[in-house]
Amino acid sequence: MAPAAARQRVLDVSALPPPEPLVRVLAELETLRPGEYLCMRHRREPCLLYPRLLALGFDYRTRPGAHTAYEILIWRRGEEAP
Amino acid sequence: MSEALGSGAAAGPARPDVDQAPPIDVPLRFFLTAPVFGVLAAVGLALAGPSALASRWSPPALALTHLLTLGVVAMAMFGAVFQLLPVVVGVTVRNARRWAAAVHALLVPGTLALAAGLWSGREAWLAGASVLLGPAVLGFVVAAGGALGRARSRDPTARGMRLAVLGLAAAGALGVTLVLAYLVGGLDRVRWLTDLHAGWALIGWVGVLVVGVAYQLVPMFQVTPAYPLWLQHALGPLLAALLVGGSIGVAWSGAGAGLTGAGLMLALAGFAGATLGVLARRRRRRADPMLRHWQLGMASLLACAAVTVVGAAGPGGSRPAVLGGVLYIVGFAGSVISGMLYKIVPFLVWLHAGFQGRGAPATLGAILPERWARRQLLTHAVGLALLVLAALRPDPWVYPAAAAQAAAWGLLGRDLLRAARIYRCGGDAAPLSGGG
Repeated sequence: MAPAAARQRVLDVSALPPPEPLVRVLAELETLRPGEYLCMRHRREPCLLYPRLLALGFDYRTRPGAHTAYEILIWRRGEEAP
Repeated sequence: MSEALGSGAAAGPARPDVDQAPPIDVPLRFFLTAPVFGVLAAVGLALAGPSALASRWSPPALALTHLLTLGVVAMAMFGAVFQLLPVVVGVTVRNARRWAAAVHALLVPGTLALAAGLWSGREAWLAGASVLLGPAVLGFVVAAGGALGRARSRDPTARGMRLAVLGLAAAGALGVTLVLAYLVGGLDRVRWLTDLHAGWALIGWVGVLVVGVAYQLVPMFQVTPAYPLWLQHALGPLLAALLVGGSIGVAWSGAGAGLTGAGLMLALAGFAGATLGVLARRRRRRADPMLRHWQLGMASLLACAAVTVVGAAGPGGSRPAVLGGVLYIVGFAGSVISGMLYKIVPFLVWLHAGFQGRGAPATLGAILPERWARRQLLTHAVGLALLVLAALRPDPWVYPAAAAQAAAWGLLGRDLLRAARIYRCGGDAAPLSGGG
């Protein structure tokens, strides 16, 4: 298994107004390869995204970010959590 | 860094969930009705002519004011509260669809009856208005207040919404009292309540709600820094304290309404300045129509504060009151509501269409092109400028002002209806996707 940093894809949506962060992240997730996870950087919690992620078969974890207020780590359910 | 705020399906109960959001028809019925009352008020202004703006006490002025404050402002804000409670406070109105249908069904004829009664002086219309509007306001207060009572959030937005609903309850109770006093021939004894009614309605309800909601919506949609924390925590309680203290003073001594009004407007001027400040520091440099609507609204609020303070210090008269009313109701509330509707309605259409698998358009611009909002913004700004001129010199400016106001509200209504039809048509935005 590659180290976590190598499997990470970063998407910074912190300067986008709604609904562009949701649109961008859902489009990015469609191209996520097996073993990769997405690190979404945002200025606020994307609460509307969470139920959509679960419905699409993804798991997520939200944490305080180093570059933006929030980082949301998103990976396919069943794969190793970052 | 490693501290997790939330994960998987463990999202906390205070978090908004699109499944908790009310059906789209709950806010839309209010949003689509509000511009119709704006057009009605403009038509009424043209019919009444210069006399409508001669004094705040003239029958047409009272009628048109309530067409705007109840038919446009309260109508839009009722819809906004139903929609925003889950998003910004984390609670929903139980049985929202029934409450919204009932409140809307009472508010529309009640506002029409009140306007007809105030204009004509006919008691039957006023009696009908009080029978309809009392339950309309009470129903909204019970529905929204019940949800806010269950909310765990104690942040400035939740506090502001609670204060605003209390302000509406006070304004409604005072308004019904005034109508009932008129019907039994005792208006002269309680005429002093009119200033309290206006203060609680315009500032306690409209002002406090806009302030509380702005803390969330402005940073969210305009990508600005947060409002200063001290302002968020201090402004709502300050406005409430001024309103309560001023009301007690007026009730006790029969005086002080002008001074209280000036104090309240200075506090709101602080909010306007803070809003212009955070908007100037937005990360998203591109200026969209919502930004311009809010800047126009805040400039109007500052101008209204100046007029109110100068009016309180000067000899009085009807001119500052009429001008202040125009700046506050059309300039401040009208601009902010228009900007909000141009942002929220396409967002709702996108959200509900997308989450119901209807194939939502990728951008809000495909639902409601930005050029439509710009056209309405320009028309609204011209209409406001003409209305300000009409407040200063009713003849001849009242007629072009009425025409421009009718055009501005008409454009808003048409644009919102087009956006709503995209939802009904299953997310097909192709005919509209060329703009924005």
